[in-house]
Amino acid sequence: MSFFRNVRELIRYRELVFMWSARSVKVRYKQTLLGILWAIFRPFATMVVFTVIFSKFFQVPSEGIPYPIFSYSALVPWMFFATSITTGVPSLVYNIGIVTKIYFPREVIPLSSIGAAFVDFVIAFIILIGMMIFYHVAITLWIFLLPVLIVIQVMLAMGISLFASAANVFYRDVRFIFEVGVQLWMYLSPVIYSVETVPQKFIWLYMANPMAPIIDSYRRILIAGQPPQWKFLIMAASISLVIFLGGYSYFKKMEEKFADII
Amino acid sequence: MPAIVFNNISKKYEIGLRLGSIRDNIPMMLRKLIGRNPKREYIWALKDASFDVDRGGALGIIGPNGAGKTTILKLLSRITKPTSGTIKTEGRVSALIELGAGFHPDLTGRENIYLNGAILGLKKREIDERFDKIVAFSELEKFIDTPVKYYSSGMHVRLGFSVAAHINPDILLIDEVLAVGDMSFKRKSLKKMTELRNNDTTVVFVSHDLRSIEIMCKEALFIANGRIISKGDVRDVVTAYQMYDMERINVMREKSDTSDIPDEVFITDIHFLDINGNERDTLYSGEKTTVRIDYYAPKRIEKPIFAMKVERADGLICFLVRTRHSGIAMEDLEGEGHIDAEFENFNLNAGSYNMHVFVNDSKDILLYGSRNKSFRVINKDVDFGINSGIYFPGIKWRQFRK
Repeated sequence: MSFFRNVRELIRYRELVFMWSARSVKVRYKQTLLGILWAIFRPFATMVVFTVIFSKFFQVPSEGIPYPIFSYSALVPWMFFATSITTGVPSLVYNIGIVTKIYFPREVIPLSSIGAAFVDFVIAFIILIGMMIFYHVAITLWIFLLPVLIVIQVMLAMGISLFASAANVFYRDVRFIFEVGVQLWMYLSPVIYSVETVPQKFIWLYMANPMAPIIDSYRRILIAGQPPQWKFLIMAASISLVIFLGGYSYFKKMEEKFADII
Repeated sequence: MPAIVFNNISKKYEIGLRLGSIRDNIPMMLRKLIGRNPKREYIWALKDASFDVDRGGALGIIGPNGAGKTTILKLLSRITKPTSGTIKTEGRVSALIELGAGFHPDLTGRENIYLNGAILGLKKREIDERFDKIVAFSELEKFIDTPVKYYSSGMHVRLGFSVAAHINPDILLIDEVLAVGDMSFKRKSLKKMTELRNNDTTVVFVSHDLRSIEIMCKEALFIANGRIISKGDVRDVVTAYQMYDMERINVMREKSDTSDIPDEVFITDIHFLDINGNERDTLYSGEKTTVRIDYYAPKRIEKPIFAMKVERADGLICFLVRTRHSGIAMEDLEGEGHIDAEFENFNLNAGSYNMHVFVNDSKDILLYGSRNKSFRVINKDVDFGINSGIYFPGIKWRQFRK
């Protein structure tokens, strides 16, 4: 099966993925005053703005959880997802010079964007832990589901990035579509509001967006100390897997044309 | 066992295939919808090209710009796929196709070495082992922690070549890039490539510098317009290329399009003349001989230096003489003419030899042109053969009695 052959070759190049991710992080924060602190500052500042707007002015209900940690616990995984996509989609085109001159499995490039976004995620997560302590959040065993959520989310981000970065080589519009799309997507996911506010009759439709159960689950296992809504999470995992497989096979199909077109 | 098998390869590119944005393609899509397929235009960058290179062999590729030389390297390194045909390569392929490919301008030389090594398939530990050698070879010790965006193009080449050459590739592909480096680094790289080749690395080398090709490679390939015109022994191929190049320039001159005429001197022929001025292919040891070098310079060349190197069939260098060392100032060359080199006694022993004549610029740096000619020398009295050395002293023996 060519899928397994591709994965095996990718594993052979795993160090390149790590190194390339590190390179993206380094380059991103080089010549900035705050450096890696931006990884904390971005979600934190967004959280503050959201808290002022949605909690103070609009008084969005947050299931009795203090709004700052309610929104920050969703913003951290959401920004991980959004950064993965917005940096992953244009990544192939940005690396024209390398794609046309050196061979290596091309998926390394978009996957490294996710790797770099993961570094930001981990750093922003440290602040989340600090906030959990500050707000005396009771930590339960459900927190051990965290890696599962990360895996599902990364799979989804990989599928989308692989598909869209390849498509972006042929149509440069794709990048802009995703930049706008990701912003709208946030409002379709329970980042600033709670799943509880979604009317029951639309709940299946709403949860068909894999990011909805994923974000909801983060909040449940980390802050609310509850299990995820299994049926929705399993649905999200299945959809993510399909998107990943589809995106990867599309990527490999288009890969051989990259160097000729870019 | 060949390390590279390039079997009947064709590569087609679509002209004007620039899928910029969806909007640009709407007209095409509409035309497709109403069933009128737009006419597509293709160019064949390579057509039915076949060759193979043995393990530890070195193949030189020459040809005019746009002939398909780089396409061959890109196909060998898997950057692009052939339209038809099959390619087999054995082991790890390391390619230096363009300057600074794989270097990130914002990262330092050190960081880039690691990144580049990983791209070429090395593990971190393996790069650690080679790191010092790479830096030492590139002579960039002082700048290794400087971002490469501050590097000159020469420094880029040095770093790029160092990485590519030190990852112990099974196959090394080198494009034109070395032309950017300075002379001493170029010489050093050629030496390194020879060393790798002697250690069983297979080398494919694209260059405009025919002399480098002749030094590096026993076999060569001459391609033009995507087709292999000539392949085999490097000397024959170089000669074929020079003939082709001369014709091309003549065509340009006829069109009186002088802008593109390169600074070149074509050695159109080499003759051996005996004491009576008759041309011969076989020379006699110790006889007076004149080597006549016919040249053709399409453009004025200032004070060139002619050089003549003779090697015995087994590669032993018999002599190398230059007009500069002989204290002769050559006049400027333009148009056709010939140079005579007169040997009072042609003191080579019997055997088969090759003469390599080349023309350099007045500083002895650039090569304007070169040509090879094989010849035989016989000894009138006895055929001594190869074991008798190369020098024919022309001694008169005398015997005395007390």
